[in-house]
Amino acid sequence: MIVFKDTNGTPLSTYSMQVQPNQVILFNELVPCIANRSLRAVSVENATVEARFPGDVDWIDLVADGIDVSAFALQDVEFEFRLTIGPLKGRYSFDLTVT
Amino acid sequence: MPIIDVSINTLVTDGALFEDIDDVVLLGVQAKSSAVQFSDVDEFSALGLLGVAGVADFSDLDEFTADGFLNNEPNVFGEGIFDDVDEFIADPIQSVDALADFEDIAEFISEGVLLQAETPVLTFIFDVIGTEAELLADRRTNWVPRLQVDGVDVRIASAHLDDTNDQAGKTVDVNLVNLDERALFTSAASIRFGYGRRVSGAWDETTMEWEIIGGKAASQSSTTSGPPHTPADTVKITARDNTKTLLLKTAQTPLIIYDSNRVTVDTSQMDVLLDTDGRSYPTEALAIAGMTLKKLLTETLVNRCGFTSFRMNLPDYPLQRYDCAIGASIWQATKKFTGMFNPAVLDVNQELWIVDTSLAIPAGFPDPREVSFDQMNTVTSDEDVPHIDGFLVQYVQTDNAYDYTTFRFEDDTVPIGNTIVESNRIFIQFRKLAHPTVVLREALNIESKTISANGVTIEESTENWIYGLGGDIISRSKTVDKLLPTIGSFDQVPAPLSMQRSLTEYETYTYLTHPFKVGEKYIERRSLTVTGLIASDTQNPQLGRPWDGAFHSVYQTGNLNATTTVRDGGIRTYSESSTPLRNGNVQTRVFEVDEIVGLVLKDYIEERPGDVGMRATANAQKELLVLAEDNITRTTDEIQDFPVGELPLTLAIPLSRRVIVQRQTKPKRFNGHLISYDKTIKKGLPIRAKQWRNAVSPTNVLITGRVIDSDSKGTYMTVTGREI
Repeated sequence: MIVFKDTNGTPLSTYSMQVQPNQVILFNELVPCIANRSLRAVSVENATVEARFPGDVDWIDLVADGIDVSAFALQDVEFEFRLTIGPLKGRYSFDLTVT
Repeated sequence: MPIIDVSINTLVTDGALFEDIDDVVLLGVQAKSSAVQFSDVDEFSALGLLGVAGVADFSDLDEFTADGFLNNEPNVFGEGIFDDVDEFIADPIQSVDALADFEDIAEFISEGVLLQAETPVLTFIFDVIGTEAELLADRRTNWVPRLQVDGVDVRIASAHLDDTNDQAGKTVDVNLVNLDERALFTSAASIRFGYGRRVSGAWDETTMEWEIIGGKAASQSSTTSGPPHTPADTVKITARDNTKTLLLKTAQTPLIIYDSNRVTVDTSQMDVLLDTDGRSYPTEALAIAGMTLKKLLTETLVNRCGFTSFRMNLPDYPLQRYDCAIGASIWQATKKFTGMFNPAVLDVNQELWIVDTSLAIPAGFPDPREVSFDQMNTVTSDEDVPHIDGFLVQYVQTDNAYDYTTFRFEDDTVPIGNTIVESNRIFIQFRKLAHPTVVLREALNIESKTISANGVTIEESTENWIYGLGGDIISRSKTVDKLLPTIGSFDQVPAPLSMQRSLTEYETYTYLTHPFKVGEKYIERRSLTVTGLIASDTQNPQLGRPWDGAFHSVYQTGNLNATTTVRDGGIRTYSESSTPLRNGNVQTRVFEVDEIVGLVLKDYIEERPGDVGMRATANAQKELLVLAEDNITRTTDEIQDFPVGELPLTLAIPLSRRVIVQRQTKPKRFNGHLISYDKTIKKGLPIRAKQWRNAVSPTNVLITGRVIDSDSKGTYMTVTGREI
């Protein structure tokens, strides 16, 4: 099965959390890389979702740009993520995907 | 290198690299491998079944061809990459799943089903709950319970909200202030219950947190003493929320939901339940192609129970078949697929959440939000918790639902006196991608025989068995060429002999779902037709009609003469159909016709002992010992059973290891108390619990239940959880 995993290799399909307005959350996870596809975030509201290869300096916006993962096809590669929550209160969700 | 011709019955091994080759030809070869690369290969063709599973890379080929030439079976491409291939041909059937990648192919020729590559999705749900200052202000609020019946406020003296069980749904017990209002709680009444703030004697609607919406009264009890309306009289109402009502829904008829890609269900011969009015309740069989847990829960929870939607963090793994008896809980019947995760089930704003409680905080993620409790207890598990080494994981493997096949070839020569029988057999080996080195089953596919006597070939035959996607035999065909007198030269002495196609047999098998045994099927009909050369003797008529017989038989019995004519035609038809009986036997009808003479030889029905059921999916219960980690030594500690059903081992092993570790480390049970009501604390959510003034070290806890009590003194919340 082609799934996202935590850094211990445990499959992840949904993750929920409680956050505060304008909070910045950093986390790492394993991304299943596929040829000719990009890591993207879709249906994002009230947040900014960015990622980068571990060790890279620049964060890449996963909505506007995405990250081409072709070079790592068929491998699970660890990425760093930065989720910046917006000012609004309420329930929001988004999908990370490799598409 | 100009050409590489991988010989028959060769396994292309992991890491094989075929580079700068003009032409790669695989004959009956298993190319199912990891990391096979075909760089700069001009042309690739595979004759026979090709199964590609690992990281087989066919990029930049001029031409890729895979022919399932023996059995018309699917070419299985697991994770093949076919970018920039000029021409891709997979015929007659192609089945693609997982990661097969076909970008920029100039020409794509393939018949059959093309399944899309899987797209991984990780859904994040985040509740933005307010700033620290706002949360603190909420905690200082005097939260008051509020009950409405059909939109009308009903005054209550006390309330007890129970959200502790893992069955989903909340119940609330309230004591009414005005006993006469008990009449409002009819079975159709819609109940709303929640907590809010009262300002100047009126509800501040903006603060309302509704815990139960669309609830129903479940029970009503009254205590009265002496004359009516004494102060000691009470009326207690118990209401349950809509979630609980929906989860109690049952199947209207017997229900089967199945993956039509993997199993066949035919309800036509299943027993039909009748009621006293003669109405029938036939089994409903719903096919979902490529059924997974998420698809099954969408059908059961959303389409049938009535939830608007659901979310889960359980893995979405493939399932074969779901069974629910008439009147049985639709929800309960799904638990065989989710129970191993010990899920917490809760409703969040009318959406059902199914949360894996075996999960700790995912590695690489930050700690959850801190919640300060007024009083907090962590209770170490009891001493009698067993010291366990591991689990005997009991899983179900579908033996005959193979992923791909390979071939084995066998040749032998048997001399019998002056006769020599030479046989070439091709066996088809059924394998699964998960266990490529294991042959699940082997069956004869093609047998070619040459029989010679005194150095002269006297018979050649080829027999071919065709198997369906479930590995069951679908048909058998056989051709026989015999050394017989050459047609048209019977007047010569001696008549010349030549090899002639004298017999052709074709046998078909059809299967039906067993009417009495769940998950089984049976051979409903086996039909055989024999055609071939028929000799007709008009010089020796029988009762005025030519004497006809199979050419080889007429030759064998010495009845050929110069005027005998030979034609192609039907020789024999045989059919055997079966119907399982309730007593465990089978009713069989046999029908045989001599096509040459036009005579029915057999036509009878008999009851034969024994059942004809065969496992449709051949689920085999298997066991695997899983210790807490790889490469650790087994001690004398206990081993416990851990049934996981159809859950793939790739998911079952990490799950069982999580649970082993939890049991080995004796996780603490958590119990915390809050003065007031905290709307942000919800069942199934992870929190970092700490005590007011930090008297106890913070602990990561998964909330498993809440109890909220309200009376004249205020509202209090008790939270239970499990350390993670």
